[in-house]
Amino acid sequence: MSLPSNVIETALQVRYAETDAMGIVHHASYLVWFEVGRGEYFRQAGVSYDEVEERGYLFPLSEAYARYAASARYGDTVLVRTRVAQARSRSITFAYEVVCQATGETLATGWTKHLCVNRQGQVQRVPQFLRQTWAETGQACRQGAEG
Amino acid sequence: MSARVVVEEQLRVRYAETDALGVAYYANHFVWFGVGRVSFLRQIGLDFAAAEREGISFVVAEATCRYHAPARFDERLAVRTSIQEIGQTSLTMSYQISSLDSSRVIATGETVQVFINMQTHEPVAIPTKARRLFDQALSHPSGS
Repeated sequence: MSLPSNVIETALQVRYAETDAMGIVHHASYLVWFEVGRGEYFRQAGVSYDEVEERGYLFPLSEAYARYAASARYGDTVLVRTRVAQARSRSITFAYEVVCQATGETLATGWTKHLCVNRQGQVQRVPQFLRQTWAETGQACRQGAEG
Repeated sequence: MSARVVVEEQLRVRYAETDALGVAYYANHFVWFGVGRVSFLRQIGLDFAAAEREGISFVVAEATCRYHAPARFDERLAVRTSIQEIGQTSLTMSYQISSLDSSRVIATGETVQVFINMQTHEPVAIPTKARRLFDQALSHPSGS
């Protein structure tokens, strides 16, 4: 099965530190996995997130959502599938799906919404160099150019 | 007149919870919601550990957080937790995290918990005793 070209897949091994007393991965750990997926998305789109920050643009969260369908356990390898769900002039929303590599089962889905700000925390337009890389990576980026 | 029970728990942002941006990393807010949740359950008289010994627990099925302002190292935070909705097998709780140093709202959010049989991991109806406590906490007679 091949993924659409605008979806970036990252494989992760569940760490013991991510599990809890119920023997499964704690729900907050998925938000960290989303971040790993997001970082890989930036890299594969051509501009890594540290480079984005060096250029003076930051993408703090304004909202995060996760829905949990099944549990991941220590020893599992999970795949984080990341795509741009919505690109607007001053914000971007990434969507995620976490899948168990062995079974293909969906463990969780979610999204994170980010504002584009400068180092002073002032909201900025998403710079052209990012718009371009995102537009090239996924056609979803072409939605909602207004805003 | 009735009002929802709101339970406040206080904590301080730990250094390990901050990131390279100098603020608390966004996944920690979900852990803080968990701190609020456990405190809430304890406060309304639900012995969570005892329920687990009887084979019933709950898992988080859904979680949302809206970030209003960054939290910084050593900042004193208050997590205010209340029940939003009681379902057949699920319970929706809402949270507000605010700074006690600046009185700014840091974040708001909700989580949906589903009660499960710990052996089968299948959803089960909320146990009667727990449901009674939740009902009371949702429409708490004022002044009592």
